[in-house]
Amino acid sequence: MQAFKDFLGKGQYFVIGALATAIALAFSSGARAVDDGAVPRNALSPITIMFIIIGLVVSILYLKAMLTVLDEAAGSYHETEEETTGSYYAAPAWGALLAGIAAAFVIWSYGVSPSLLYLGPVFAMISPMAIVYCMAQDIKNFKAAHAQTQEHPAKPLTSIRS
Amino acid sequence: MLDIELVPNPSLAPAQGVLMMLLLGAISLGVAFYVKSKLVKNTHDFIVAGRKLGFGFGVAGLISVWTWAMAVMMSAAMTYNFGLSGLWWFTVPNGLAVIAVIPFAKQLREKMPHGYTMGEFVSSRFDNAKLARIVVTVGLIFGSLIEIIINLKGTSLVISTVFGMSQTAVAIVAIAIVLAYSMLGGLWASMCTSTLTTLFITVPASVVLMAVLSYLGGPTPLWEAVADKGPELLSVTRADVPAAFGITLALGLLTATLAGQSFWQIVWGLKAKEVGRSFLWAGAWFYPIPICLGILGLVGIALNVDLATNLNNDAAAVGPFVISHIGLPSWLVYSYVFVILSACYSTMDGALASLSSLAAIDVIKPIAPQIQEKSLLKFTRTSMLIAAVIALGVVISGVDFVTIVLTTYAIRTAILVPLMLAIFWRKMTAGGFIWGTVAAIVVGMPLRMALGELPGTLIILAISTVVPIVMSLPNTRLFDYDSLKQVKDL
Repeated sequence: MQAFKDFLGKGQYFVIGALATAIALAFSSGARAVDDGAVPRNALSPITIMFIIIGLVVSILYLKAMLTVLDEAAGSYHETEEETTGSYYAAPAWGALLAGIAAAFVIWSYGVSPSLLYLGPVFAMISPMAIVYCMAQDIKNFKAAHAQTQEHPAKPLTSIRS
Repeated sequence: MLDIELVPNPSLAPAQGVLMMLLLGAISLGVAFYVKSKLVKNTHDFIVAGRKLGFGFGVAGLISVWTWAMAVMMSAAMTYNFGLSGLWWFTVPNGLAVIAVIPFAKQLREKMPHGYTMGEFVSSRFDNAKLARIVVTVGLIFGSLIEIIINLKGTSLVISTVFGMSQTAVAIVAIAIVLAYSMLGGLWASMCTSTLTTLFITVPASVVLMAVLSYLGGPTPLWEAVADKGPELLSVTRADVPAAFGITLALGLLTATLAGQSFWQIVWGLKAKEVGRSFLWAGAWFYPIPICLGILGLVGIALNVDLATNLNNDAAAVGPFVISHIGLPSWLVYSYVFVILSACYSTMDGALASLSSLAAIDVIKPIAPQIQEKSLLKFTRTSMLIAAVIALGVVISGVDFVTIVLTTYAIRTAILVPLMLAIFWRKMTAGGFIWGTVAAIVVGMPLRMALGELPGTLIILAISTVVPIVMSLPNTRLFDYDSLKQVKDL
């Protein structure tokens, strides 16, 4: 999580604030529609505009992270990474269970209340942010590897692979 | 009450469709050029990205490869057909199918760290058994080809429907673009462009759906209109849905991931330590895409979209139809089309990349083991071209490719359990693998045609489980999985 915060920097407050506002707007506009039954034919509502802004911010962060990872990968092309056999980052079974249950729960919730239909677009917007978090982990690992290389420079490689 | 007249958007013209395809193509081509210049120096880099794919690209690439153009449309189609039960049964197994790969992927990535394809694994696992390798390779090649054909067909349908273009023109332009950037950078290009397309799928999908809900006056009028058609449409517990398509789809999805080279290529392309969590996160964060786009199916129900007159009896068209006929501004229609194009391109480039690894490792290398590096890379790229030409030929000829789909499905389903056993069961023999697969196809396929999809699929699975187990149980020579470490890089 720290890597993600480091990657976002001060932008994290804007992203969190924008998402919270969008969710609040979504639910309040849903409630308003229930109250007055108004049916304005306007695709570009405040909530849509808010989502466009969030989308732009998310896209910029995503592209920034993607380009950084690509640059780091290109920069470390000739580096070999020591891999310990059987060493994996955690992918617990409860994570799979949680993901399946959460998805099932969101779809079920569509049938409970109209406002919960907003959950789909909200989660679709969070999805790329989750990927930015993953890329931030990669960037952190690249930086750690560089630091290690500077401390203990590797012998020049005569052959990358057999 | 939703009072919306369904009329086509008059401002959409074929030139806009071509421009959109070219725009996405140009972006992908730019990424591929960068990748080729920085990260692709040889065939090894081309087909497994030097085994240096990280967490971020792994997750984003997997999501994108798994998000077929048809899947984008099918989430809405299943909702339109069966209400929320349809969306539930379409979505939940989809993510779990990706996550289910984890134990198998970890085992193979650890025991066979220098592997490239499942055909190569089967060959090494069963003492160079040629027939076993051929069966698996044929299944994987057909599987990848089908991915290209279905996505190309889906894209042609959508773009031609929305922009009034000829389907042939769309298919030619789309495959030419995907082929161009895939041939440049192989798996690296595929994963980089797929990472980008995941962004192009999720953000526009979110904005478009938010705009649709706003346009309908918020979610309440939509929800009430659907509820008026029948409360069962807003329930996830309809009893008829699992038998109608849910169980068959769940099994089909498992075969597509566990017996699909697109996924195994990524398994061997990822850094070993990233395999588990990449698949877990990809499965989990794939979910928002169908959950979001499935709402279009509810819109179709609420607006009384007619299957025969409006959708030409193809429920998959409900999403594009709704978006282009309810009166949304053109830029939202473009955004939606961009989502479908992104899904299409990323799946096709993933399939082309997987075909290139199959061609290099399971076709060219066994025929010419001493082939020079440059020639191997050239032939590997040529295999992509051949696959693209075949796929294009099938799509524009209008040939009914149901037979190819059925054959692929049969082989994939038949090799599913034998593959799982081969990965984990030390007693499994080559005979058990081959005869389990062959018997399942020969006996199971005709029964599937006679009895229907669900019983047929269960019979294929039963045969392909029982035969290998019965044949392998007496085996006393236990396989040493550590011997797979002797497999070398190219």
